Amino acid sequence: MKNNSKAIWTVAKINFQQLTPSYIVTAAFTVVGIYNLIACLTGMTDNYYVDMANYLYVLAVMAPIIISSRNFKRIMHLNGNKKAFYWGAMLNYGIIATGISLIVIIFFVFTKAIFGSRLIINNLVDIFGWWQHGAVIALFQQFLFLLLIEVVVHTLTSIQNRWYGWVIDGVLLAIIGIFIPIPELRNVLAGFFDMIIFHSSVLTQMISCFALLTISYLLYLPILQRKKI
Amino acid sequence: MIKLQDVTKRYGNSTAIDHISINLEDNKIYCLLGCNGAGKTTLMKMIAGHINASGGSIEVDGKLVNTAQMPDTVSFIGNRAAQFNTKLNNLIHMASELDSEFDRAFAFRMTKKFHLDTDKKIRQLSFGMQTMFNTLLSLASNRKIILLDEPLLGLDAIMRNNFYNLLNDSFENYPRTIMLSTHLIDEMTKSAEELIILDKGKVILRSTINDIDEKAYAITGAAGTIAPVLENLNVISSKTIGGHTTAYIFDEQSEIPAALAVQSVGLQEFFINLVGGDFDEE
Repeated sequence: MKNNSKAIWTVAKINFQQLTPSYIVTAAFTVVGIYNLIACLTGMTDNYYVDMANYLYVLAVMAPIIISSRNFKRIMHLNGNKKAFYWGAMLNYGIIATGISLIVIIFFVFTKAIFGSRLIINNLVDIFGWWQHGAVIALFQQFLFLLLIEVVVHTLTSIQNRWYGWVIDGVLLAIIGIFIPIPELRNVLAGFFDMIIFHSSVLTQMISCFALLTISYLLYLPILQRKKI
Repeated sequence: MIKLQDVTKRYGNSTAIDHISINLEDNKIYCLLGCNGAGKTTLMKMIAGHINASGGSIEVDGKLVNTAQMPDTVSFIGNRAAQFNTKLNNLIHMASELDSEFDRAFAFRMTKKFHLDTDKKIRQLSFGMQTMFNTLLSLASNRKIILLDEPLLGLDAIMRNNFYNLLNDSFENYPRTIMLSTHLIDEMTKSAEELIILDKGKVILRSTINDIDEKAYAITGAAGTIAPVLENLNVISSKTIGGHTTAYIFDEQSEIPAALAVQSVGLQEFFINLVGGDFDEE
């Protein structure tokens, strides 16, 4: 047990060390955010500012792609085991979601305090309605939402080399393509996003995210078990 | 103990492993021989649980092996296994943290012996050195079963000699089951105890090196004289050129008429004739 805990931490550590492409893309987006801030402050553009911390969401999408598609085999080639990878990757996602949530909240608080009078600050915690429940609740709501994104992207990435991965991609595209034009179905789609993002009930939003991420990561288990090296 | 029972592996319409049933004992060095595409890598991957068999069963120490139940007593790192492009000492550090049994001191000793610069990134190494490094990671894992896929690929003669010495030292210090595949047949006699020859996914011969030394020979003589002698022998291959026949035998040595010449056969020649099949040229 002790040895496996060490292996789980090591998997997480290795994953963090080997996320360079994700860090580069996220950094590039953050630079855009910095430029946006400077442009707003200097009057080069209007005062509509998208909080640069929101660009960290890119990391929550990029990291699982790299971990699942690239790091998995390389960890196995170092005599790693699948169980340690399963929990190690989850540890990565938990840490990333916590880190991003904290940074986004802190940035929002300070940006509002410093530039609130001069700029219209757009931050996803505000847009998604989480901020109205207070900083601490918003932190947890955002954490679970980001964790859901990471886990779903991880699971979807892991099946891209299987026929059923392409079928699921097709089904998801078909759902979006069919649901959006038809008002009744569009309402279903809106209801889904309302449940995991915008719901006025904090518990409903958090339980929805938690349930979906649990199902998604449980579905990943048999996929990982069947995964070839 | 590794036990394969009627194991088959199919890729679409082609069969890579064709109903193999073998038992491998503990603490022995096995050499897996076969032409390209004979199924050596596939067999190793299945034993390690890296891929699933299409049929049959594989057990390691009594436990069923598949991708969902990878045995933690087996180490298999293919010679072309992708690694993180980082310094070798980082990779050794990662491997030692992932596996508590990993022998870090042994790994660093090996890097010195093979002149592997641990401050270099893995992609800065030649193909042979990358293969050597992957072999090193396997051997240092201290697992009970080590599967090495073409560990000598790209190594020069001196490095190969170092490798054999190291393999023997490692085995003496820590006896375990080592299976390695290679094309350098004659050199394997320095380390391997048993040979398993695969051809088109089937085990066509399993024997000890000593047994092959004793039983493999060639008889040469006039076609008419040699034919009755061969009737009672296990002929693995023969060729006839201008009325003169050379037959390759794998059998107990028996009384051979003085008119026929008997020669011992090297391992490589034996393997080529066994796998290459019969052909006659008149």
